[in-house]
Amino acid sequence: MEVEVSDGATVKDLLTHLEISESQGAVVIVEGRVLKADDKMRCGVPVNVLQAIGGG
Amino acid sequence: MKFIRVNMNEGTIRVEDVPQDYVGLGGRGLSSTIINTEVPPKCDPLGPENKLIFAPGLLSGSPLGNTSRISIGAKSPLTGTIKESNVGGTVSAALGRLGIAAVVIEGQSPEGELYFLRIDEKGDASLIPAQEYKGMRTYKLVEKILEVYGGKTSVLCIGPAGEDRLTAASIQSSDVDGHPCHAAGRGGLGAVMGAKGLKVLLVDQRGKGAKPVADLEAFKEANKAYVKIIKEHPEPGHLMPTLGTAALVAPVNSMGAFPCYNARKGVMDDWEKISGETMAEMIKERGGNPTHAGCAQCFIHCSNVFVDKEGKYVTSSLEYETIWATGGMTGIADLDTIARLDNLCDDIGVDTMSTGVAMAVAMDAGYKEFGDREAAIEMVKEIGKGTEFGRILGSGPAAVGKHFNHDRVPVVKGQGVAGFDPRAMRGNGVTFATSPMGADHTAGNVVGLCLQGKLDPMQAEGAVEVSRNLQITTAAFDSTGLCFMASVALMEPEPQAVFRKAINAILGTELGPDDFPRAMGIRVLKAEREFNRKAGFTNEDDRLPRFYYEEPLPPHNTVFVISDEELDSTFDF
Repeated sequence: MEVEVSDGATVKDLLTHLEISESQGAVVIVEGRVLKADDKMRCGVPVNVLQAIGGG
Repeated sequence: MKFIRVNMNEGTIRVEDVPQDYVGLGGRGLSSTIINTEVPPKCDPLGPENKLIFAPGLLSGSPLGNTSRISIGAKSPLTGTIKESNVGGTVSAALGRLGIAAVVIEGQSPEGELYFLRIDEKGDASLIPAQEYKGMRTYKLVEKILEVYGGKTSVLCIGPAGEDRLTAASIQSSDVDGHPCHAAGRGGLGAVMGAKGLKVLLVDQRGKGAKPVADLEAFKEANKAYVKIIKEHPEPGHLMPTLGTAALVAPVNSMGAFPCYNARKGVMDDWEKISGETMAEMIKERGGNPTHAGCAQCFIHCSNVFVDKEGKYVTSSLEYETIWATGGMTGIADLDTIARLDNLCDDIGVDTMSTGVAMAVAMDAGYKEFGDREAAIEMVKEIGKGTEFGRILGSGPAAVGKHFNHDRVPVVKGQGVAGFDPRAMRGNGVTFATSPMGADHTAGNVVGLCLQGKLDPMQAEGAVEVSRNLQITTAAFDSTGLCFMASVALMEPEPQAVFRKAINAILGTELGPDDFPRAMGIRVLKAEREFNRKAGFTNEDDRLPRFYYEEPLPPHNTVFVISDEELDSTFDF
């Protein structure tokens, strides 16, 4: 799906936009890298929003 | 608590109090300590000097939930090292309720003889000749056992692979529905059981009741907090009952750390077709069960029941490591084929991980094409038939590499790796290289820390320390019978203190933060490392195969960069 966030939006902003709270343990992965909450999003780059998991 | 010692040479059984040196130990701590104390390190793993230990966790059979893991230990015929392979199901709680701390199988029955070891509701053990079950596959076997001995029976058993003493043979454990679909898969312990002449350990579930709790009031309080922590944690509380461990397929591919096509790539083509999300949808649509309790006293429900297009049972708990090994490594992006392979492996009694990696090595050597579904199914069927190739495949990836004279074999100490590539997740490279068990995904897995943003998966600095601490904690948790899914909620100091309170209340101990998990975990690892040293293993064995250091893994195109010196400091404690 496509999501519109403001220019310079961070990972945190994206999760807020998607109504995903911190306690839900989401992880944002872009181009194979796990991003931190303050990392900035780039326009047009596919983003994977997943839930963190410890193994299995 | 008592020990049951079974001498297979003479067919005798001895019941004894827990020997003083072993008091306070359970699960992995107990199985590894017994092996290090009693098994000659250089013995033939398939000979009479080896011992096969069944040790329920310290808390198994107590009223604390999610503590139903049993540790099975021996000298491994696959790795030559000490081995602990733990498994869920119902048997651990059943043994715990009977007050049995360990069942120790010694010696070897006369060639060609086969037995069941039965433990009845009073805890009395007997050996029962079982010639008529020779060669029987596990599903039919358990069905017959439940007919004869009643539905309240827990089963650990081997299939034809174990009887054939194949070094990737598993010991299968029955779940709450009586399906032998959980596996103590790693290390070829099924071959040890087969070499002993033991087909089945069956345990009556109607023991005296839960283990006595030393301090009931303290337990009630700790239990309430324990349940709350686990239920409110996003992983065991939400993700596990929704997708199970298959939830890992998406993030590990997204990170480029999903070893596929015999670890030639880090992202699989069409991985979405085998993701946890796809699996859960498929199961729901077909009328299976995506949220299933596989083990006794489980309130997480990470298991699932996978059904075919007609809604008929195929396998239970299709798990991440099986999906990765039999699907990712072989390039088969099809869950129906993967589920069929899982069922075949469970039925024949062979480790899905070793088998998947072994098939990938065969494909890489040009024996079959990657992605060939029918070829994969036929290959596994050959293990069950006991053909020459089947025997090689059932002996694991290293045996297959040797057969094809193909040196690109992803194993450490002879055991196939797990579904996290060390070139893109370096901390797991440290664990795979150094674990006393050989490459192992449960010995100290860093994937959670990577996904929580606490560890950069590419970062080499600090990876050894992270692996060390996780290996220590895991060794301690594996001694309690706690399941991995619950343990992820108990990694931080505060929840760990709650778990410690529960342990102390149940056992009447006074373990402090230094005692558990740290001191207990170190004690276990030291015993395991000591055994391996005496068996002839050195630091040179704590290494990954060369290709991890030389061949970049797409898409990041990185190699494993942690030096030998750093790896050798993993157990500096």
